[in-house]
Amino acid sequence: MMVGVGAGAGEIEALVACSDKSMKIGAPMWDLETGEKLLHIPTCASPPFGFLCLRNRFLVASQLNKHGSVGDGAISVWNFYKPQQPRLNYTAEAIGPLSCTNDGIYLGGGALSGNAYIWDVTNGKLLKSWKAHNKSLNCMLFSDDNSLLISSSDDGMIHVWSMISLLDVEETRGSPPSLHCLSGHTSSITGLLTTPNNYFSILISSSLDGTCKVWDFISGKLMQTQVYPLAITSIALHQRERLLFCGTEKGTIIVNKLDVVLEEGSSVVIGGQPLELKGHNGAITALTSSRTCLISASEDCSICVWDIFSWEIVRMFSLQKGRVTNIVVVSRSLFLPTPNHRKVSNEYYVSQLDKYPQLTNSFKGTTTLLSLCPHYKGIQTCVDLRSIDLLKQNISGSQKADVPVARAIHMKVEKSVESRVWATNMAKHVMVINKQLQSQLLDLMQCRLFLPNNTKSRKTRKKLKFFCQTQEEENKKS
Amino acid sequence: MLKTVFPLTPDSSLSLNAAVSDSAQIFRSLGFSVPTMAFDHFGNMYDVAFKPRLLLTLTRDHLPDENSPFSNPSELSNIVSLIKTHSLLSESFTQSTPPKVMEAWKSALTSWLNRIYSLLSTTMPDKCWVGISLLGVTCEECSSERFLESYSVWFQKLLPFLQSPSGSHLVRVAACASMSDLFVRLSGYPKIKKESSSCSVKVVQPTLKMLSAENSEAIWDAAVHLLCTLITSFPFSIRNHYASVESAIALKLLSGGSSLDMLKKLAHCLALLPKSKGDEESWSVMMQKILVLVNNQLTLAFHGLEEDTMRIEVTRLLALPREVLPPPLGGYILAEEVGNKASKTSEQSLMSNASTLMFCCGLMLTNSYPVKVNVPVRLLLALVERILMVNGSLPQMSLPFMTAKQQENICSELPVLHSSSLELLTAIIKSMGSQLLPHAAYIVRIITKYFKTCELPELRIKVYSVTRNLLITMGVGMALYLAQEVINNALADLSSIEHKNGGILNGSNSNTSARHKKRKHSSTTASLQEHNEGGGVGVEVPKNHPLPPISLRIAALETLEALVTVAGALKSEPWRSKVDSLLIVIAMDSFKEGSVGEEKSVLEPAANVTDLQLAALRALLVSFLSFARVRPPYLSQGLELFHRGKQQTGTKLAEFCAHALLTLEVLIHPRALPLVDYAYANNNLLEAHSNLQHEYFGRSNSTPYGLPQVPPHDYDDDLCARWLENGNEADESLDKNTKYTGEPSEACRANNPEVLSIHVSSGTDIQERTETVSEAATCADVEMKTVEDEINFKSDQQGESVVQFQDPVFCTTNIPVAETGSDVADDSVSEKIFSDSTVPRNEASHMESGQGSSVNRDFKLASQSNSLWKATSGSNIFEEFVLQLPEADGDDFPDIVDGDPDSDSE
Repeated sequence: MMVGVGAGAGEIEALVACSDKSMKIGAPMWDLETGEKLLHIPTCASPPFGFLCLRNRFLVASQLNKHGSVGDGAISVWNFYKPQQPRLNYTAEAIGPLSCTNDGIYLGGGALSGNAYIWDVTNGKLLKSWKAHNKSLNCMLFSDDNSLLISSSDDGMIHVWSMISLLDVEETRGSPPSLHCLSGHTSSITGLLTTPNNYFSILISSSLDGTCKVWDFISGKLMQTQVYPLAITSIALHQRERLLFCGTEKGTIIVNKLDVVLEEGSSVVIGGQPLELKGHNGAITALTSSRTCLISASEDCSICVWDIFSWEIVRMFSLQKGRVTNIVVVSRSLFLPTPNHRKVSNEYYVSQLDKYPQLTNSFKGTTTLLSLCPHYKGIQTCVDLRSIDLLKQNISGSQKADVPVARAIHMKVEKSVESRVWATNMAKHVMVINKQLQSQLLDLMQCRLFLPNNTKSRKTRKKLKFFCQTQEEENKKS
Repeated sequence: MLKTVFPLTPDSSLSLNAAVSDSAQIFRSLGFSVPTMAFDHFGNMYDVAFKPRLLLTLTRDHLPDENSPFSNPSELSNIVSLIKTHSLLSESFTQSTPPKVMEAWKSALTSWLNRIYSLLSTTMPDKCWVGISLLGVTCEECSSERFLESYSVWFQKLLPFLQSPSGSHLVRVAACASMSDLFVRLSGYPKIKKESSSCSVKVVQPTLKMLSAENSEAIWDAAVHLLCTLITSFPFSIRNHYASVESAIALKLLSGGSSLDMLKKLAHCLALLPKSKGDEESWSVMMQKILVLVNNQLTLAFHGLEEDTMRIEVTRLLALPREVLPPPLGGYILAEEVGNKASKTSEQSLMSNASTLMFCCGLMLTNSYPVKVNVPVRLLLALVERILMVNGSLPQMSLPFMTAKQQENICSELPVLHSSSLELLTAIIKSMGSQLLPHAAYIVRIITKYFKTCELPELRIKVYSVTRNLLITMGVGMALYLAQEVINNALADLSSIEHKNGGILNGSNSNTSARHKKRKHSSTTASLQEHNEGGGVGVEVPKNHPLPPISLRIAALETLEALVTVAGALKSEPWRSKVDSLLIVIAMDSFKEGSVGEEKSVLEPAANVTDLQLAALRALLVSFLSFARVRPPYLSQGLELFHRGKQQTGTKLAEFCAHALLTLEVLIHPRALPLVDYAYANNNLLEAHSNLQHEYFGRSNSTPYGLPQVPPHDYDDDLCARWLENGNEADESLDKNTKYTGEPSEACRANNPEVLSIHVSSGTDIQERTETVSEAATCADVEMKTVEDEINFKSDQQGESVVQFQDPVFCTTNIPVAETGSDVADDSVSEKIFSDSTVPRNEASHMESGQGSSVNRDFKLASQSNSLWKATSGSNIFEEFVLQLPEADGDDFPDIVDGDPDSDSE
């Protein structure tokens, strides 16, 4: 969710946002400086943390199919140069949160079942899938040196995994033990952050239980707990100023100083007094910071850009009728079309992601792929290529050429499912009314038969009563 | 090019200064004759007019011609350096160049070329050689117009020398070199690609012929050089001869008898070869061919020395990537030949072949390649493991099948093989980067296994470098696996101090060394002693065991540095204190004059000793910087070392020490750079933003000192009590308090000049009484910020010293307070602050007495800033805050009283 893609000096930052309400809302991209809308990705609906940017070249989003169209999930990948043509990667189950390493080589994804997946983006291999949590996995994060993976779940558990042991090809156990199991939160985790310096292995987690906890994720110690009166729904860090922004369920943002020089032993800080930013009407759903501003998104469908010096809203965007789940800052100069569309053959490239892992023994033999220009310059990066047995494995993954068709079918199916659900509901409703009517009718008949000398007025009263009842029923249903 | 031709040529990459001074000398040595245009003076040495003159003179007087004999080859190198220094062939004109000079230069160049042509047409090999070499220089140096105009002529002139089999070696080597210069230049003009490729095609065949027919290494070298140029610049020309180039090089590579240098060049050329096709397929085919060959050679060489499982594994992996195995390297005929030979040849040549081929693999991995390729990482790693696991010991069962002589042969070559496989491992790590992650665990297993058995210093250095690469690439996750191994090995390699001291102790000067030891120990702390004792026991080395070579110790230090760099986060690990004390001991030891230096300078160049010193200091700096919570225990000793190092002016050491001192400055005087509000307000727009700050800090201190309002009902008293007793919080409240002071005082200075005088005067008052540092008072605003940081950093760690100075602190706070109306509140506040901060004193940390004084100072400053704040608050500028205080007092003070006994009882 809060992927502050490092933008170099001189590049203009752009903001991409998306919602999880409907595919139709899509993901618009705005220029942060001017507020101009740069492009619009047509169909996209991602759950929180399910949207990220790979190497400032690709947008990756896990797709949420609300109406259970096929059961499988999907991850779409857009190239900045061709935003209208996503590449769909179907996954074994619906993926919620996503995370990628800084070099854009590994992509992690977590599912509602608590399973976690790691792909090598460059060749599409599913390197590992394992049961990471017992409850739904809701946030994933790679440590700054990419050597550790941190995941959290709805029950407030945080696990730290060593990538080396996760990806060890000779490790045959299905679910390797995690390095640490950080427990302390009593409710669902809503955000994970690490500080991007080597030395301090600091993890900040926020939860609906109204606390932010600061952990040393290498030693697994809890170092600090910040207690807030409200549930924290999102957190972000402004790196240079060591400010921690906490978005609350009430729509305010609490600005706190984060002391990185921390003491041994855990301490408790009770927050609430520091600067509070008010501007949103709904719970904060996403926060991110760029060089000079803080960007917040809320359930009220609006996105605010705050000036970090004056704490005023300098710009507002809005996503039509959809709560914002993800906001990502990307650097803009990169998706201005390159003057000469020279295809660089070994540039960074996202392959079709595998749905299932390869068998262990065949994996042992296959080759790892990479490009031989390890010293890539700037943006034009180069890694990897396609794997040999990609096609064999990719029966279910639709090819790039027929993506629009697949997309259209998907949408149609979704639509028809929607209408079918509606129809069934209506049918049920009608049946209930029918039943009521029948019973009422029987009642009436009984009355008539056994109490023939009842006054007319009583009849009419009964009629009225019946009428009200049915109307009530109807109201309830609708 | 000239480098290959004349051994005497100065390096072409001479710096200009050197070249210029050279040329002056040359002028003298050449003894210029009286010029014909005796009085046609030019401006200075930068004048364009000077260049044609000099060129003409060189052509006329210093080049040999058909008749005059060629006197001295070294003169040629003088001429070349003159040409390069003054760029005599460049014909670079500007707008202002007089046409006369342009003409003169052009004609001079023409005559220079004519002279070269005439040299080329002679039959004398030495003159021919001069002409060819100078033509190569001309290719490099002339202007673009000139080059495009005449490159085909030059090509035609050079080509016969390559083709004629009868020419002298000297001439043909020079021709290859000049030809290669020509092609390098040609590749810079993509517009004439068609013409230039047609030229390059003509060269390939003769070059291959030279490679196969000739028997001189100099010619091979030149031919390989030319081939490499063609592959990189004109891949198309090689494409049609791909197989023949491959077999020619493979033959040379495998037939043996070449020097190591030559083998490396051949390997380089072979590694480049797939580039001529530039597709994924040819790269992986080449890689597989090489690996198959390596595997075969190893199987022959290691027969009876290794377990079958490794061999079978590697062979299985080799067969995996494709159904049909590619033909062997260099074609079937060659393979057969080599195979026949191999059965006869010794294990040595087999193993040297294998290491050359692995070198080639490494080059293929690290060279750039235009497309993405599949790298058989798993196979490469299995191969590396296979080699590293062979140590020359014979399994019981193969004893009868191998003579001692065979074993001797193998063991003599094994180190080279191990070294090249470690190089291959390094190349794999470098080229794969983070994509190696799925194989990282495998590498860790190989490295840990090998580290335990490896004993030769050369190999250990390589293992250290592999470890370093792994740590830097994979970060803390890798450190979790490798830390213990690195620590064990580095401690073993670096524990030389104990041995040496032990050695001296047995000698005559036992007294001095004992004192030595004592001094060292007293200056460092108890943990160090522990370490020394532990180390002495743990590493059992005979007294006369030689010290590990300096280069090995440097490698160990560098690896420790890398470990601490990436794994600073593992601070709770027990090895950390060991490493820190080891590093300070080594660094101090490296400064002991004579002890290390004299002893080793006989055996090793002196530079190495300073390198060790540098490595030790670098590691020490990293170890200092990676402390987050406490001051590094050996900081003062370390600082002294850095200061001493800085005095060695002009050395790398001094440079580094200066850098280190700058870096450590932050550690000594931590600048927790303020929030953006501060900087913004201080720099500009103070008034505009002071309101904002008021608001911010007013809110953050809505109850004073950041104490909580009555905690939310769902938090029990225990939580509150814990919070109160916690040193951290006390610190934070103190911190906030001082910050609070800093800001308003600044703001009030802006508003009311009177306040300034008050607080300055109170400042000086304190200064007199408590002898604090003087500048603190005069520029109170600036000081206060540092003060606040100091407190932030220290107030939890200092020990008894705080208590000692508590009383004077109180004196100072009381004095200015006495004038104010709200002194009761203030008093209690300061009491609270100090009582709180003294709580952690019970768990007092190890505190050196030397640092105690600085702590006092900090505290005085802190109290001073407190008093300043009171002064300002007393002057009614901050009525609002003053008003708040008594209110809060009622709420908070009892809490604190409750809190303290709690902490005591615990």
